Amino acid sequence: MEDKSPFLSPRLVGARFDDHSIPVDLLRDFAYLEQLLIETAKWRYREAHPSRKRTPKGFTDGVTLRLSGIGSGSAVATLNLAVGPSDDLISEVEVCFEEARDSILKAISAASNNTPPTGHLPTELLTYFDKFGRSLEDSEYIEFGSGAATGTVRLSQASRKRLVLASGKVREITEEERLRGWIFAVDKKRQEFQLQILGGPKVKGSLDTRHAQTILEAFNTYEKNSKVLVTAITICDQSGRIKAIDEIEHISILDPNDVLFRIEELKTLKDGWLDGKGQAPKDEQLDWFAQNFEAHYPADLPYPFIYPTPEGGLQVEWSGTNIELSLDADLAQQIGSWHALNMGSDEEEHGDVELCSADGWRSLFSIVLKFLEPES
Amino acid sequence: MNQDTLLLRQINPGFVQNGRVTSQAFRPTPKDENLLSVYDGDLISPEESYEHFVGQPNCRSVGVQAVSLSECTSLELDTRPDPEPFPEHAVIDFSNLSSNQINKKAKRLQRKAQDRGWLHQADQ
Repeated sequence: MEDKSPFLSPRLVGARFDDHSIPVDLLRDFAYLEQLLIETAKWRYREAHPSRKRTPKGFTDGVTLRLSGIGSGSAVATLNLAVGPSDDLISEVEVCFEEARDSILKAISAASNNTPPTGHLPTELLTYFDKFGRSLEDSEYIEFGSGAATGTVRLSQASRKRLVLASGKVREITEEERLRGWIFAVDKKRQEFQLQILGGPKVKGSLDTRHAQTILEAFNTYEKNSKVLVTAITICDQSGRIKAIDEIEHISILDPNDVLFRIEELKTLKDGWLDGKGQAPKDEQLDWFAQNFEAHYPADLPYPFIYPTPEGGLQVEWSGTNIELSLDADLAQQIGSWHALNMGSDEEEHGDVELCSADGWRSLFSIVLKFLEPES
Repeated sequence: MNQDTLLLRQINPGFVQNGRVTSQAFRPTPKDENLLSVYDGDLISPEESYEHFVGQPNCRSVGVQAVSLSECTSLELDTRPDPEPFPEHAVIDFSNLSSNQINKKAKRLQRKAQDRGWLHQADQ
């Protein structure tokens, strides 16, 4: 038997959901929500029947949370609850699950408001938030509105962490992260590797079969500055510092001049980097540059070298056998000056380019193509 | 100093990516008043120049590259000793040049230094 109106209509908010779709990795979170819901319903039943040590036989049989649709409004998931125990239990089960839903939402609401969620959920159930909501990125959240006595509540990474830590049962939180760095150690006997995270700590991970070949290749070329991008579940302490890699989802060896890696590297610069002077580029300006560069850069061109300038900008350099081409980018003004020198003929060309529009970036890269293509 | 003299340039860590040095390392910054500071290689070794440089407050270097005085001369860049800060100090003069002329000469110097390779590198 299935409930008629949506049991929950969580709205997923963030750039990934703008086209009214839900990435499949978020479905794992809904699976964890179902587990949390079932355990919370069992707890509600025991609370209502203190003399009973366990829920009746068949209490959760056939109970599933079903994604029956995705609506507009960023992306709204329609989740229905199907209950399947015997007829004499249905109404009681439904009540327990509705109370469970409300308890979960009240706990989230409390965490969002920086008040203890333990008044709404027992500590052992709060540990489910270690997985439910883990796939959210920092700028994303899940908004729950209808069907609750709590008004609108939001589950974000910040509120999720508060829920997990409020459980008092865990000293560590798991996170989904994209890590850039170098694999500098492999221990085949212990089936472990170590990753030096760019601008961060050294962490251990398991040398699992699926990714062993790539890990070993990255390790064997470490002396050549081989860099990797690792998408992984990480184990963090309460302050958010990564302690270890729990599970690798993807790993790839990066181009030596990978632009996103280089941009992250440049974020570690501090003011005064050049003999006590030298302004460090601003993180948000570096992100703007990286986003536009990646969006417009022709796939068949080699990645350039990118260096900071003393004024807080970037100097981008393409070096060929007979050509030295550079772009001096003013990140604040979103403009650039380019200069090309033919090392054989000594001919030079130069010009300015606007970087505040897609046309400007395309224009820049057509200039790069013009000078580099004859060499390739 | 003579035409064979190597002019030693300290390379800031920010000016290196995958072992390649930017041409910015071979042109003066606005604060330098168009004078690029170098060490006179006839008076000090690359390693000694590195130790001297990083011994100064806020100064960082990953190593030493060099251009010869004759290479500067061929680019019409004046060079001269400038012993006021310390005896081994010298300068390459970029005065009276447009920014594009500075860019061009810096690229030429960078290539020369790159072809010559590192004369000293800091311990990793």
